[in-house]
Amino acid sequence: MNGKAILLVEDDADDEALTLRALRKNNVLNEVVVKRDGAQAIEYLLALHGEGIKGTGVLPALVLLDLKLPKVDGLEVLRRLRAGAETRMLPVVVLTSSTEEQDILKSYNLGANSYVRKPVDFDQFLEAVRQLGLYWLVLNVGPPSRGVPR
Amino acid sequence: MSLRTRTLLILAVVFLGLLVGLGIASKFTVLRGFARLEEEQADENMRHVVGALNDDIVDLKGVARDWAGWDDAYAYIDGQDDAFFQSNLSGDTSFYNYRINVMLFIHSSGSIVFGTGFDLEDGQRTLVPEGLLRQVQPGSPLVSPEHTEGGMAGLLDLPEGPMLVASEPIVTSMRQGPIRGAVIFGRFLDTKEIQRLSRTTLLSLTSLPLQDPRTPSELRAVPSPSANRPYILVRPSGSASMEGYALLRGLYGQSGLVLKAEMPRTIYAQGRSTTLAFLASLAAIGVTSSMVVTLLLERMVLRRVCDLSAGVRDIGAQGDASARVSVLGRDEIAALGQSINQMLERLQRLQREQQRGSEELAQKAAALETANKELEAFSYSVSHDLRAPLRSIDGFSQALGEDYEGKLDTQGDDYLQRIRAATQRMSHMIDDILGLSRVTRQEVRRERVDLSEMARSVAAELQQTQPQRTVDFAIADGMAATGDKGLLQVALENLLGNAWKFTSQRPSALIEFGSTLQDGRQVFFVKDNGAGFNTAYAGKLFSPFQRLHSPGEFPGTGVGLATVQRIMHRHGGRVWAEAEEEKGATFYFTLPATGGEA
Repeated sequence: MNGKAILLVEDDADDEALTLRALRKNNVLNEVVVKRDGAQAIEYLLALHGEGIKGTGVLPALVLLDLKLPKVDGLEVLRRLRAGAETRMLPVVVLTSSTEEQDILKSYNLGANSYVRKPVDFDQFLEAVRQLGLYWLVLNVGPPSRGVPR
Repeated sequence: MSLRTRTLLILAVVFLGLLVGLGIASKFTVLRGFARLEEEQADENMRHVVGALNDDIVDLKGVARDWAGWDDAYAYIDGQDDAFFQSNLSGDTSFYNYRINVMLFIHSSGSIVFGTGFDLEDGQRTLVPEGLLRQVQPGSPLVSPEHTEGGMAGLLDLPEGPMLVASEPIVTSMRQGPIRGAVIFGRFLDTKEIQRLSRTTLLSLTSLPLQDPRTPSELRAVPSPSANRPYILVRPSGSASMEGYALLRGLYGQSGLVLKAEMPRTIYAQGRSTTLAFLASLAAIGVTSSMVVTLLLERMVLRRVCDLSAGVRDIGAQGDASARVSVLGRDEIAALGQSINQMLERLQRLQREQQRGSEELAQKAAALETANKELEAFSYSVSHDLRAPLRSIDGFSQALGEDYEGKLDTQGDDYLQRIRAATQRMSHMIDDILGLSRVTRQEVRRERVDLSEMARSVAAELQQTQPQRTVDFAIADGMAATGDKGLLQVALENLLGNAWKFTSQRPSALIEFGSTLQDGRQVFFVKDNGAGFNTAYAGKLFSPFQRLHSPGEFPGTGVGLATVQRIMHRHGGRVWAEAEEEKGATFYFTLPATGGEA
C-alpha cells in the first residue's frame, strides 16, 4: 500500500462520513482529501500538478468521483482530467448512486477506469470499499507520477 | 399521333377525296355534256354550210329562171332577136353580177346558140369547160326540160372542178311554151367561192373530192343517199379543234363533193376551263375552309385542350394543389377545366387537413417527447437522490449498532434491525420502479427472438441462484416472436422468476413454458404448480405495488407483473392470468406477429 492520497469528490456529508468510515474500517490509512464540488476538485488537481501548493506536486493515487455534484458535475470533472496532459492517466473510479445506462456509458466514454454503484446496504458498501482499496491501492500499478511523456 | 395532326390529316383526306370524286364526275358528266353540245353545234354548223350552198343553188336557179322565162330570150334562141345578144350577152356585166363562170343558151334541137365561159379573176371569156359540154349532149335532162317548170339545179363534179349548175327551160315571159331550149348557168365551186361561203357561214371551209384520201373512210362508205339529203360527219381532230364534213351529192346522185370545216373546240375548251375553274375554286374553298376549320379547331379546342393538359401536367409535376388551371368560356372544355379545378380544390382541402393532422401529430409527438424527457429527468433524480438518504439511514443505523454496542438493549437492537430491513425494502422498490420506468421509456427495437432459447437461459440462471432446489422446467422448442430482445428478456425473467418464487414451497416444482392457439393466434403461457392465487384478484396483479401475498410469505415489491404488462403493451400484446389457490398459476401473453406499438 503506497502513501499517496485518495481524492474523494463527494457533496453529501453523510456519504462522505460513511465512505471515510468504510475506508477506516477496511484499514485504508492513506490520506483522504475531500472536495465538495467539481470546481474545487479541478482546482485542487490543477494546482497540485502546477505549482505544488501542497508542497508535494504529487497526484493522488485514486480519485473517487461522484457524478451528481454542485457547480461542475462529475462527468465534466472527468472530461477536464482526461484533457489535461498530467492528469489524463490518473485512475478515476466513478462512485455514485446512479445505475442509469446513460451515466455508465458517458463515464466510460470519457475515460473512467471503473464504475461502482454505491449500494444502499452498508454491509455491501463496506465490501465494495474494501475491494476498491485492495484493488486500486494494492494490486493495481498506477502510472508513474513523474516522467509523463509529453 | 397528336390530335392536331390527326385532325389535319382527316380534313386533308376528306377534302382530297371530295376533289377527286368531283373531278371524275365532271369528266364523265359535265365534259361529256359539253362534248355532246359541241357536236350538236358542229352538226348545226355543217347544216348551215349545206344550207348556204343550197341557197346559192336556189339563187342561181332563180337567176337562170329569170333569164329563161323572158320573151327576148325566147325570141333570141330562135335567131329572131339579135338585139338581145347585143344588149345582154355581148357585155360581161352579168358574169360579175351573178358570179357565174358559164352561160349556155341551148336550142331544143341540141345546138348551142350561145355559150361561153368566163374567168372572173382576169375578166376574160373562155371556152365552155369540156366536162360541162359532155353533160349537155342532146337528150340530157339538162338540155331537154320536159315541161315549163322542169328546170333543175345542182352540183356537177366536172373534171375542171365542182360546179353549181342551174338549167331552166326557155319559155315566154308568161311562162308559156312550147319550150324552145334551155338556159344553163354554171358557177365553179372554186377556192374563191369556198372562201365566200366561209365568210357567209363564219367557218373555215375547204372542199375535197369524195375519193380524196383525206376524206374520212366513213364518208366514202356511205351508201348512195336519197337525193340531195346531206350527210354530215363531225369528229374531234385534236384537243383544240374539230372537223366537220358535209357530203354533197351530185345532180344525179353520183359521186359528189365533200366540204370540210375546221372548227375550234371553243365549247369543249370552255367546258374544260369551266370545270377546271370550278375544281380550282373548289380546291381554293376547300383549302381555305380547311384552314378556317383548323384555325377554329385550334382556337376553340386544340390549344385549350393542350393548355389544359400542360396546366395539369405542371401542377402534377409541382404537386401544388393550390394552383388552378385557367378556365375561359362556358363550353365543355371550360367545364372540364372547372372539374379539374374542383378536383384540385378538394385535393387542396385534403392536403390542408392532412397537414393539420400531421401538425397535430407532430405536436403530440413533441409533447410526448417532452413528457418522456421529464420522466427521464425524474427517474434520474430518483435514482440519485432517493437512494442517498436510504444509504445514510442504513449506514448510520449500522454505525450506531457497532459504535454503541452494549449500550442498547435487545429491543433497541431489534429496532435498528427493523430500520435496516425497511431501508432494504425501500431500496428494492426504488430499483424496481426505475426498471418499470425504463421499460416505459426505452425504444422498442423489433427483431426475431427465440423465446425457447431465452427461457432456457433464464431457467439456468434461476437454478444457479438456488442450486439446492429441484425444479422441473418444461420448455417447448421452437417458440419465436418478433420483439425487443432486452424487453422480452425482462418479461421472461419476471414471469419465470415469479414461477420460481411461488413454487419454492413445493417439493417437486414444475414450471412449464409453451404456446397454444386461441382464436387462430399464438398465445404463450408460463404455468407453475406453486401457491397460485384467487382468480378474483387477478386484475389487481398487474398494477404496481399490488401483491396477493405478504413479503413474509414470498418476497417482492409488486412491480414485476406491472413491468411485464407494460412490456406486452408496448409490443401491442396482452397479458392475463388464471390461477387457483394452492394449485398453481398460469400467465398468458400474446405478441403480434408484426406491428404493435408504433
